Amino acid sequence: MEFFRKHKQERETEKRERELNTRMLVAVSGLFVFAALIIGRLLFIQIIEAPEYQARARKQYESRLIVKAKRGTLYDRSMNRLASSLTYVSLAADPSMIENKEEVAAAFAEVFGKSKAGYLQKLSERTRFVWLERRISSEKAGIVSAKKLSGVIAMKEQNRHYENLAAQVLGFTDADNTGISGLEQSLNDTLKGRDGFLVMQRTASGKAFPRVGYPHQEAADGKSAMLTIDITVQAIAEDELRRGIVASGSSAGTVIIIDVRTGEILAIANYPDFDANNKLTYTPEATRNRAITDGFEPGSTFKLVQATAATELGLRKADDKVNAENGKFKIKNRVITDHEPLGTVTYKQSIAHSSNIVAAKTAIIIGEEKFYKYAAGFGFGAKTGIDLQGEVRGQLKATKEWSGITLPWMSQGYEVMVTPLQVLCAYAALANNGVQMQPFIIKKILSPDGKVFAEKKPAELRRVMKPKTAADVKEYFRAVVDSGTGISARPEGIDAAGKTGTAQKLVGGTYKSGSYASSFVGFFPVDKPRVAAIVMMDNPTNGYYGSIAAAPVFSRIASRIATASGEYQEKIQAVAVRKPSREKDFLDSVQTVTVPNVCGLAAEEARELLKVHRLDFKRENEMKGAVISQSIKAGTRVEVWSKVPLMFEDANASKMPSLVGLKADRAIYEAKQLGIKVSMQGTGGIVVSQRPKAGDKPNGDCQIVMSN
Amino acid sequence: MKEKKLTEQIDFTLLVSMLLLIGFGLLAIYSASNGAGSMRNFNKQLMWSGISIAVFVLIYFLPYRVLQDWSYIAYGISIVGLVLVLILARRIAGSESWLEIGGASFQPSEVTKFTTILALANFLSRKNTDIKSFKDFSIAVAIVLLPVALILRQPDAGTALMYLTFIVPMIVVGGFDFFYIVLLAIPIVFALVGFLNLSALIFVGIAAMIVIALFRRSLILSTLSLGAGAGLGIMSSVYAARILKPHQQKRLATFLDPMSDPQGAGYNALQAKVAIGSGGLTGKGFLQGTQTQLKFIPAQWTDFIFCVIGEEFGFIGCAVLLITFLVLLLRLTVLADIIKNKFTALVLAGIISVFTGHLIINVGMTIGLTPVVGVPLPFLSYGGSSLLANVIAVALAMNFYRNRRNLSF
Repeated sequence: MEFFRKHKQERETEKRERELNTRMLVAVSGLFVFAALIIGRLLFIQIIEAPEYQARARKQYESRLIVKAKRGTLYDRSMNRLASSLTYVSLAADPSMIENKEEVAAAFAEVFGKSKAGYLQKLSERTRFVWLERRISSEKAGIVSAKKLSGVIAMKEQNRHYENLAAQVLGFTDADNTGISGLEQSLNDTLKGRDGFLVMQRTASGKAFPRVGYPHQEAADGKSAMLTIDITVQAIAEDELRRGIVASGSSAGTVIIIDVRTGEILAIANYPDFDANNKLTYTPEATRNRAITDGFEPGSTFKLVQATAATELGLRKADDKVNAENGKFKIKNRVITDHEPLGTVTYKQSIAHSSNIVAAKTAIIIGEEKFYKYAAGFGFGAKTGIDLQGEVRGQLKATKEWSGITLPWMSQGYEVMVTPLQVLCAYAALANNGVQMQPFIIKKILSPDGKVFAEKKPAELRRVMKPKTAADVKEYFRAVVDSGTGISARPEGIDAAGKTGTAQKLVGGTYKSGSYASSFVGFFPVDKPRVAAIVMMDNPTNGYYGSIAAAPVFSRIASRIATASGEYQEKIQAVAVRKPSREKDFLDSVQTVTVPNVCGLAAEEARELLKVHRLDFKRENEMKGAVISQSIKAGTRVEVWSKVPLMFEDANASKMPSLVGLKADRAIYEAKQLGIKVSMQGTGGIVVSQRPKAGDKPNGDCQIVMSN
Repeated sequence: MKEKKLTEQIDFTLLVSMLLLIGFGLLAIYSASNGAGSMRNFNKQLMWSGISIAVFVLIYFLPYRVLQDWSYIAYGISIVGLVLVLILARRIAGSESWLEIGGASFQPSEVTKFTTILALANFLSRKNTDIKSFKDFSIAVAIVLLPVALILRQPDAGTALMYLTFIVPMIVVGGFDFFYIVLLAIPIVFALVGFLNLSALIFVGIAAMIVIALFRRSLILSTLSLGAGAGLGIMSSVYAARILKPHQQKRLATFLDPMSDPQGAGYNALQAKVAIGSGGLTGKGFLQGTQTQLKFIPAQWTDFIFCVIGEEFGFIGCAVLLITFLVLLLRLTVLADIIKNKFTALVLAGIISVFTGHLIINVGMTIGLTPVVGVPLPFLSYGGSSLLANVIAVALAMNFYRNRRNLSF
């Protein structure tokens, strides 16, 4: 019994042991199964799929920041800036990468004149990125970068600013700094340079910052272009065009000025124009460069062709008597009229007084083929090939398409379409002893370091007439200015030659009376011509003759160029027989520039921007914040280096002060200190209420109500 | 009791593997804190490590009897703690699970896990407890369900879920017939599978039939269980969408395909995988993990601490960590075998279950094996209460080891 019990107990213990062992085995093998599952999964993710996850991670934490190349500058012929990109630099730091915080803080304190402790505090922040200085001038950034401080990162941004001269020629850029019009567009590849990049790290919350030691590529700045434009001549042209438009009541106008010896374009002015620094003013009407894109029937200025052909072919001489038929002459049942009826006059007089009848008669003698040859020889009907985009060729019909009256009408500038530039180049050829030069506007391409990358040399296009012919024909056009229809074009103190043109405009297929294109084209000094200019007025309403609408503009332009200080004053003085009086030098030497909009900029930035425009500022208050108002409105023309009075914002307390209880003068003074304009209601001496209220955000205006 | 050599009193395998895990955790928390730009969390965890070690020593030297005799009292205190939480607690991350004691925040639900294990072990190891009787089975289940109910009130479903990991192994070790567990499990498993994928239910059904057939037990009970399971599975596939809250449904959906919503609900799961996957074989190096340092990983100190290891130390680091865990768990299993005592075997079974459950769910969710559930990784995740509780658990095992010769059936 005892034995059995014991035996049974042993058996039970054994059974229990076995059971426990089995459970242990199950538990342990279960553990291994799970461990194998996890390890297997890890192997899959971390070894097989690792490249995919690494790429995914990289995409998350890396972002590539494009470092914009600085867009090249457009200069005038004397290296004055016409369009420039201002670069602002912001300096930041990765505090964990800075070895010597003291040194960095001290350097910044020295350059920016702020307290060292402030920088030290920023550098002690437990973050990977802090801004140290934002939007500083490139000069100061240069000083800092020269110190080669480790851990300091410079980031650039830029803005395009225009001198607001020759706006239609220069064109403009879009928000991405890509040229979309004018030279900005055609020279875009040259100006834009090559963008660099910076690899940024990004946190999960989206904060991106550059990391020291990450791959980056410096931006290669764009090349600059020096234009043939003369900033002084351009400013004069624009100024006088605007005055001429007002005086003549024209709807549009163009002035082109060229150096006849080289073909260099000195100025192209168009009206209506726009403020290149204000994108809102970019209308298609205002941004068109009419000098090359608009064809028109030239009228009398085209008489140059018959005069040249007749003279060179020996068909007419200056003193040949011609019958001007007393102002009315019928050719093939079409009546030609002269605006000034003439009887028998010399050929020279007929040109001086712009006889259409004599021009028609002469053209018939010349004959269709010869006339066409000379017209084509001057370059009509073909593009001048100027290095601007959008040029049209005009229209010079082949002789086989001519009707019976085409020749007599074309001789006075109808049935032919020309651009202002083509007319100017024709007269420039006459002025240059019969040799037509290739007109051009891009003089040099400059590398970012200032070296000349490419240069365009003046090029002869063709000889249009013999030198002797040119000398004779020049005299006819001198007579126009001296005693003919162009008297009003006569500049002060200098001899000029030229021709008026008045053409009825073809509107919808018929010549509309009351709609004219009036022009004057000429050159000076006559004996050794240097400069040619054309003035085109569209739809003048206060007297439509070229002699009234356009010639006076030419006169003033020529006078001012001849006396204004600058390259062309000297060139003209050197060759002029009659010297312009020096007395006017001072007045006319004044150059004007356009005031840019500096509102919202910090003092440092405003100074930088104004410097580009050859301006300066003076403070109207001593606040430290951004510019809140400028006393000379943006777009206004002022003398160079004028001081623009600026009002600055109080950076510390941009809250309305309490003016209630103050006397009127005190209240106005207080408000003015913050750049706030005050309008008063009531006549009493003490302020009783104000709007906006004290403590509110100021909006530039404040209404105060005075006690009774 | 004669004096023994120190080497015989201390289970070095257990001790070293635990210290290694705590070290791993501190390293990872240091890295995560570095990325966040504040060492506060690291310093706090370092302080809690010190406290935990002190408590470890204290428990290690307690007389063995105290552990068993005071288990109900410890359990009672824990329950009071959980009730206090519900009354007094302040809200953290949408759920109330913290108790402030003298300025320090404490999470009673962490320690309660182990006091519950102790109480359950004590109850199951009583001579007159028959787990096969309905009354004792009900008491055993009630011991566990009481804290679970309180924690669900907080509400903290993740922590509550972890209580269920140890109840089954413990009652099985306590003598409950495993066959009944399987019968009970089938309807639950079927319901889950049915919700996820109705056609997968067919395969699971066939597998369940084979398992039940292998037991060669009551045909009626087997059929009942399978029938109930099939019914529940089909019902859940139809009705679960209405019962589950939208965020719970979304979690399940994104678990199945984390790429389906990379910025929304799947963000955590995806970021965790990206961090671990991009670590590759050898990792990016300490403090060099881009995803960690740039704060891409959600809750990188706590629930997703494994990502930091995976990213900065790579597959090798993960493998070393997992092997350390495995050593710890295997050693605990061996201890259960060495110490011939029902109470200790039950406690060790509970501890192993809790550790294993946490490990699998936590690591599983970071590598896309399980849905994202807010469960910490033992010894590694930031959190003083959790660390203290886990260290106490190991201290219990060490205490049993020290007293192994005084313990018997």
